[in-house]
Amino acid sequence: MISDELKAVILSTLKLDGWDLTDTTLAAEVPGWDSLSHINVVLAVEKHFGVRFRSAEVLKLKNVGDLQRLVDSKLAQKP
Amino acid sequence: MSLSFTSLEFVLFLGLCLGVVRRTRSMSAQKWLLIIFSYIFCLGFGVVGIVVVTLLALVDFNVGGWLGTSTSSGTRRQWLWAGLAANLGLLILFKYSRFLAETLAVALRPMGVRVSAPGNPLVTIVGLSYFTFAGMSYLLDVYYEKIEPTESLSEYVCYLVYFPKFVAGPIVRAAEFLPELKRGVQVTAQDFETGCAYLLVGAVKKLVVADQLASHVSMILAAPQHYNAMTLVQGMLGYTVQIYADFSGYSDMAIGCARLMGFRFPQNFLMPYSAVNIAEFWRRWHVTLSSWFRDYVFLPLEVGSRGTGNASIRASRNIVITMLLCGLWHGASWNFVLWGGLHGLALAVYQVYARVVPRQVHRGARSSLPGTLVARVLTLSVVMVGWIFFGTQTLTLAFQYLWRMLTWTRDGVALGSPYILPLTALVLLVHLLVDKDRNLIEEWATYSAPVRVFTFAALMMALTCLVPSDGVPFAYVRF
Repeated sequence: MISDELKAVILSTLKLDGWDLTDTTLAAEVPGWDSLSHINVVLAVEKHFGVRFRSAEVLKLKNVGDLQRLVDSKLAQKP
Repeated sequence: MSLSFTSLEFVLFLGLCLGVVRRTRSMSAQKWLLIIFSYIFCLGFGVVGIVVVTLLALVDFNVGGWLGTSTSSGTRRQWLWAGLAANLGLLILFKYSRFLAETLAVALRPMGVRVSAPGNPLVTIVGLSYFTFAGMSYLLDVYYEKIEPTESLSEYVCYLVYFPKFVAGPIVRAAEFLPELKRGVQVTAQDFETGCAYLLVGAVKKLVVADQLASHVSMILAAPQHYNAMTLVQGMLGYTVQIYADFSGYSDMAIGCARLMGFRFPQNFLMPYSAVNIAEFWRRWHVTLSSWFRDYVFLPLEVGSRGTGNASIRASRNIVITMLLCGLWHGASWNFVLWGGLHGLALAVYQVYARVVPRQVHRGARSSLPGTLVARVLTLSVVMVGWIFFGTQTLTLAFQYLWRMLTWTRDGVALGSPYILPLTALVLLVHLLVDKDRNLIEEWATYSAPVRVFTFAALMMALTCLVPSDGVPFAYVRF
């Protein structure tokens, strides 16, 4: 389940309105989410949630659900 | 004797392979038959290649297994680097060692150090660039946990040597190929007909379009200093069409061969000359290679350097590095490096433009017919200038070619070709008029029977009447 907060960050970075993001959504399925904007999405998510991902963690992401789980795990580690 | 896709011997070989494999019920036996037929096919290109690809399969398979079982991130990283070093080491040894030695010799000469470069490459291994890239994508996908490592060595060997893609791709990922192999050879009547359509269209592109252009175009590219500007423009147009028809024809035939056995390969060419910007061109040209460089070079560079410095400059630098390597992949020559650099520069400029100009503005400009035409012509112009570096043998020839064209040199031979302008017009018109997001061959089965029969007959007629007598090898085989 993708949180509304994560959805809002992704969609505002991609300048999209009303696009449905689910666990299985792939970047390639979302308009404008290409290899260049991927980094902008990652940076925006890091900044918004106040977390820092390792490079390998970012490169492992397969879909939006993976990104949600990564954010959740980082937030759980925060003091 | 090597089997070219367009030879009668290959048609007989493919027929025999299909006949034997499709009569076999056991999936394991089918897999072994595919391996045996692939080895027979590869044998035509020399024993050394077979030894190298088999040893590499052993290394990749074992490293993949260790990456799958190891839980220590440090150990996994070391195994990944070891696996990548094996693949890259082979590439460097067999493809780039002479180029590197020559470059080193030139670099050291001003310092008074004399290094003698080897006269000839060790051995030319056909398919090396393709199977090492397939191997590296497998290791990286296992490392990044995108796929599980295969537990079967024979499946992995089949993945690397499978003959429709062995010589010149497409660079199919393990995640695409292995599930299909596990499912077994299952061919529907529709698969068979679509596979035949791919084969026929590919053969027409190669034999009727590319080979008709080859003789004139190769003469112009070989000695541009002898020709006037008008001839050089024709040569550039001709090569633009020839290289597309040659390689996309090859890819269509590879996809068709695989489809006859029920395998669905990814598309490699999606009407690339219809692109309205250079980024779109690279999403449509040699898709399996460009996506390889995007996923395994550009993205790691971007992710690793994210948040540092100016975003535009950082992205531009990563794009240029990626494209220089993409150029070098095509061959050990400065021409390819410069070709990659030119595309890298164009992509970098485009990404700055895309950042500065809001998406709605450039989409709006392109929604008008003149806007689309201007965008297409600009993109195609960059691509065509790039082909001059790609098609000539040395940088001197490439710059001579460009200089004589840009200064509109009138002296020199005017070479008339009855094929270049009509075939260029035909190919570019198809790119202009057909919806670039449709794949007419995949839609084949939806057409009515008379349309299919007529089209098959027309393609066969073209193959029997319009093929030049002297065959030309596929261009991308040498990469």
